[in-house]
Amino acid sequence: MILEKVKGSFRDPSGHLFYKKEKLLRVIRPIYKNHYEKLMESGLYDQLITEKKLIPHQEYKSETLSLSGEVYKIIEPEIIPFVSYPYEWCFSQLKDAALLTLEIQKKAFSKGMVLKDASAYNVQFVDCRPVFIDTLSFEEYKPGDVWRAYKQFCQHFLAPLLLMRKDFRFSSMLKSEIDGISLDFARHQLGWKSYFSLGQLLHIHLHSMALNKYKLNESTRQLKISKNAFLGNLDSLTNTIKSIKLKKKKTQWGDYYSITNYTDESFKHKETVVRDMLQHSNPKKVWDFGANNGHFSKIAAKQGAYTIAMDIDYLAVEKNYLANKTKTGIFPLQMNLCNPTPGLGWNNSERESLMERGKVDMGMALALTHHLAISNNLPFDYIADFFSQCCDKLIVEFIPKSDSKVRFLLHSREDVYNDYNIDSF
Amino acid sequence: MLLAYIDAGSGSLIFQFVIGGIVGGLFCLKLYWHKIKNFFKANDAKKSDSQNKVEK
Repeated sequence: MILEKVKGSFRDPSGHLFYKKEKLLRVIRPIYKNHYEKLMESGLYDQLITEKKLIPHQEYKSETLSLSGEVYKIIEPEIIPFVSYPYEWCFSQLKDAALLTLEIQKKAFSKGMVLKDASAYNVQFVDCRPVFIDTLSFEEYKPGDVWRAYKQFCQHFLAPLLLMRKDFRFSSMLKSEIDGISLDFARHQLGWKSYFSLGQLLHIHLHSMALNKYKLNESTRQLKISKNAFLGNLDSLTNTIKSIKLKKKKTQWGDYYSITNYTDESFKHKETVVRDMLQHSNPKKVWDFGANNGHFSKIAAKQGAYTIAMDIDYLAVEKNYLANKTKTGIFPLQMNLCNPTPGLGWNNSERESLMERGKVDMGMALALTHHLAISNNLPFDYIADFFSQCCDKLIVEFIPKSDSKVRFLLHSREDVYNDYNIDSF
Repeated sequence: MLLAYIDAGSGSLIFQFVIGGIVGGLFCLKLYWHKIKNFFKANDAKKSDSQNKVEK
């Protein structure tokens, strides 16, 4: 039986993930046995599953697999419909993932367990609902111990959120900083006002100074903190994360649908055409490229397709996420199609590229190709090649040069786009 | 103090001990404040219940 290791699953010695055909399996090593038993027997697992905060799994018993090393147990977690990464999330997605991590940590603590890591990659989204996916992150709490994932939490969540509040574009830093944004960097970006926030003063400024100053030795290794101090730190982090709110900003596409060229009638016609095409193909998975506020993504989702609503604009993704938090079948994602997410991390394969996460049954490129062809000088065959790698079928719209939006794109550049016509399209 | 497979940062571990008193103290105050608030809320609720009964 061919087993394929999940390439990003190698850091934690407690176990790792692999694929067996369509199944995702997680092998648990004997080193994690006690922690796993505590997770299952303390009621923590059942509680988190009931609250839909942790990915459910079943114990895999159907056959023995030829695996190297000792195996305690193999579990089969539910598969997430689309794997996304923190550098593709908007502000509120990262904030919700941070709050989920802290909430799980508090619930774990009440059952005598803690999270041994607090990586943003341990959270995924099902629809717009964050879910914790690393079943092996829980370990038994040793009285007096501090939270060993504190620094990681601050680097993966707190520092990026504070910087994204200043400027959305800081989120792309998470692509190069695979283990989060260093506190030293963050504190120099935040400015003097941040000293007046207790949370930022403690968890960013003083924390960063402490990282440079203190080193563990035999006596500091013996330091213990009370349960109240442990919970107090979690409470302080929760309050700090909750207090980070996005300022109102206007971006290029934030209000797109209020300034389009469509009349009500033509817009309704476009909706009908898209709906008919979706009904005809009945796709299970749709990628909506340039989805903006997700208007057409919602139509696809209503038809039963799990739809990824991609857009380059941070604020459009933010609005789309906030508007669809209670809906099913839609997940907004920040993505620049002219520079889609590459494979990252070790061997460029620890985190998958966008293309590796395809191919889906259907793509939608509505009011998009003029931006690719004119704003980015992409020839039609390049655009067609990209879409053919992403999806089996595509609903694509052509906007003629006579459209005022296209004329606007052309007004500050020479019209060298002789092939930009319906025949070449 | 046990170490983890991730780099917990020596300074980060010691720092939690340093700020433990502040964040722990604030947390205790918050808990007591909630208790006091809940006590008065419960009293108010009892009063309004008994007033309703009298009016009936």
